[in-house]
Amino acid sequence: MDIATNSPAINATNTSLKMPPYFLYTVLAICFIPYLLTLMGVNLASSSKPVDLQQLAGLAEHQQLDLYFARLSGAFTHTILEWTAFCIAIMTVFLAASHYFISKNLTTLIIGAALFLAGCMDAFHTLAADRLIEAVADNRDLVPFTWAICRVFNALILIGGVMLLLSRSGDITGKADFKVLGLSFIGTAVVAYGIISYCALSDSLPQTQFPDNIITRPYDVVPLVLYLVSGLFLFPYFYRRNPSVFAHALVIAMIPEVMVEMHMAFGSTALFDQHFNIAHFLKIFAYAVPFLGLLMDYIHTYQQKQSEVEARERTQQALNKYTVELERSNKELNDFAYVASHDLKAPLRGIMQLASWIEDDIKDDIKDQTREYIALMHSRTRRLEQLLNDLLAFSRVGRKHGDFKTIGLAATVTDLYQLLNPPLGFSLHCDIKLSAITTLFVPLEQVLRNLINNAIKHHPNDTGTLRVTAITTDTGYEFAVTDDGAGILPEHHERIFGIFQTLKPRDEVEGSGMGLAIIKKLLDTYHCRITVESDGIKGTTMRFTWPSEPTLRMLTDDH
Amino acid sequence: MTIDQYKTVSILLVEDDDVDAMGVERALNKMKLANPFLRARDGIEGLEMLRAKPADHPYLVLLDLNMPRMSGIEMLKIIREDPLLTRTIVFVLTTSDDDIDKVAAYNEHIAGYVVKTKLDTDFGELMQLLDHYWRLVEMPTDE
Repeated sequence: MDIATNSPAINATNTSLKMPPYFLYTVLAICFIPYLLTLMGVNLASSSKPVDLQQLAGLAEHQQLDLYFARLSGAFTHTILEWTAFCIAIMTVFLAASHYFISKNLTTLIIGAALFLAGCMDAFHTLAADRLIEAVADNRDLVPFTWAICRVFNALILIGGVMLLLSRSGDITGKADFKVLGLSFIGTAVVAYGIISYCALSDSLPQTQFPDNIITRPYDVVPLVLYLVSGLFLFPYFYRRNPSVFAHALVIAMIPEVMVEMHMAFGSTALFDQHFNIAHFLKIFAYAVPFLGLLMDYIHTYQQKQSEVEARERTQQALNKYTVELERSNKELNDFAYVASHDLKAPLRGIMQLASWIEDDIKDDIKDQTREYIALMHSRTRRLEQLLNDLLAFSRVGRKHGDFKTIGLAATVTDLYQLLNPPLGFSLHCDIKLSAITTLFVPLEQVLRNLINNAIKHHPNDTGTLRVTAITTDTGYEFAVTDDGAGILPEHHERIFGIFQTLKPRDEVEGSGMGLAIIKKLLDTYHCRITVESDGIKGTTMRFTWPSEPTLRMLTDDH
Repeated sequence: MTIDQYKTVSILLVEDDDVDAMGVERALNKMKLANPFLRARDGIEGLEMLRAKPADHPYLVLLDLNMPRMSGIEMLKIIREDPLLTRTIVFVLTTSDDDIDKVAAYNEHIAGYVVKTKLDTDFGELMQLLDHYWRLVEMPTDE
């Protein structure tokens, strides 16, 4: 039942470990639309009209300010686009952390942290470009150069994160070492800031823009190659190794990344031109795609956990129901056995009495045949009484445990044997090296007595030897009662522990067939095992385990 | 003297099983005990008989436990709470050898608890015990 309800859920998870197709199409569309717009003649460049200083002098202060703003529109656009990407990186790292706490999947945590670090470096780059951190380098060199460094850093840290995950040989779930993770995170952030700061304070940055070449910004070729390799080989390989919605989104994110670098490497010739703006715009999507993937993965993981919880609850409920039912039916069975044997005894006693009165009243002129019938009637009613008594004893097994007592095992076994009045030809070899043990005396004595009694009662000869051994084991003790009687055929080894099972007609060997059933139930109460060793030709060994004192105390506390 | 005592101690058997009642009666006859013998079939009938007794005839009650309408234990509780009956000597005579029953019966100050199945097929042993009992033991007298 549970398997049937679970399997569709498993299929569903397999097919939904990808971003939906329309997501991919949307990303592709967004990547190409700006370029198509430029082909259609739309100008996406920021205005770069120089401010006329002479005109400026004749204007009011607020009008001057407006002109400065207009002059700075490229820088503002640059800042807004960069900062939007950075904001997504911030959201990504928080979502990644919460995703990790419900899924324990390190992919999101590590890649999320990597994206955030890349975002931080972009932010430093923007701050330097806007002169909000100290900078002396010419912006025409500083912006493209630190941009290229940021892109390389972005690509490398993503690749590093994926490699780190791949090095965990398939096991990407587990407890993150937050100390190491946190330290390397802070370390990388400091290094990123250091690099940007160094570049900003340098007055000898290399030339980065070559407007006349095909490759206008050669430094951007490096990240382009890195993203191509990642998108075509490394990330798809990682996705196949560790399929998840987020890993799939990571692959898709390489499309905007490559487009960004194409615009930069082959298009942009000056700061804030239209390829520059398109590249910065598409970079937002390079951050947004993994973020959306993470979001979908989060929802997916949450739903999966939810359905797991529901399935577990259903199983638990079913289990509880079965337990209650089982307890009830066990109790009913016990009550039935008790009441039945109890109430059946009263009329039986009546029959026995009446038979003996009849015998009494007619004893002077009774026929031999009648005398025999009455004797048989007595024996049968006595047998029925014995059956009922044993059934009653069986139903009572495990109700009472008695007290703990310290006993000498060898002496106990010898006493038991003597009390059973064995025939003269019988002898007992008690091979017990154990000194005194503390245990529940009553049940152990009952098991030993029944086994010794069986060995004597079912022995075919007038002479016989019994051997009783006891050893300590890891979990307690092991007892064995061995006789040299007729043995029990292996095919009977199982059934002799059933209730009312005898291997000989009751007229031959008087017995209810409950002895071993009572032993079995008693030993089951204490989680012990009993085994029969016999080839059915000569001799039987009944071997049973018995718990140590602490185990017994634990078991009886439960009841 | 013994004759006087036989006259003064009556036996009240509270027992729903006819065969057991016959058994007790049979054993009494066999031992030639002349005590007055009465039988009730359950606790309610037993209480009626106890309450109807002449003041100078103490009863010795043989009480079964499992009976219809009112069980032996219930009847015992009522006897002990009733100031007129509370000194009644009661022997429990039952098929039950359950410890719970034994404890409950002795809590109501019974004189003894006898399990039927431990007796022989007749009640001879029990009658011998009772014969000795009322020879040696002083009966409670009414105030």
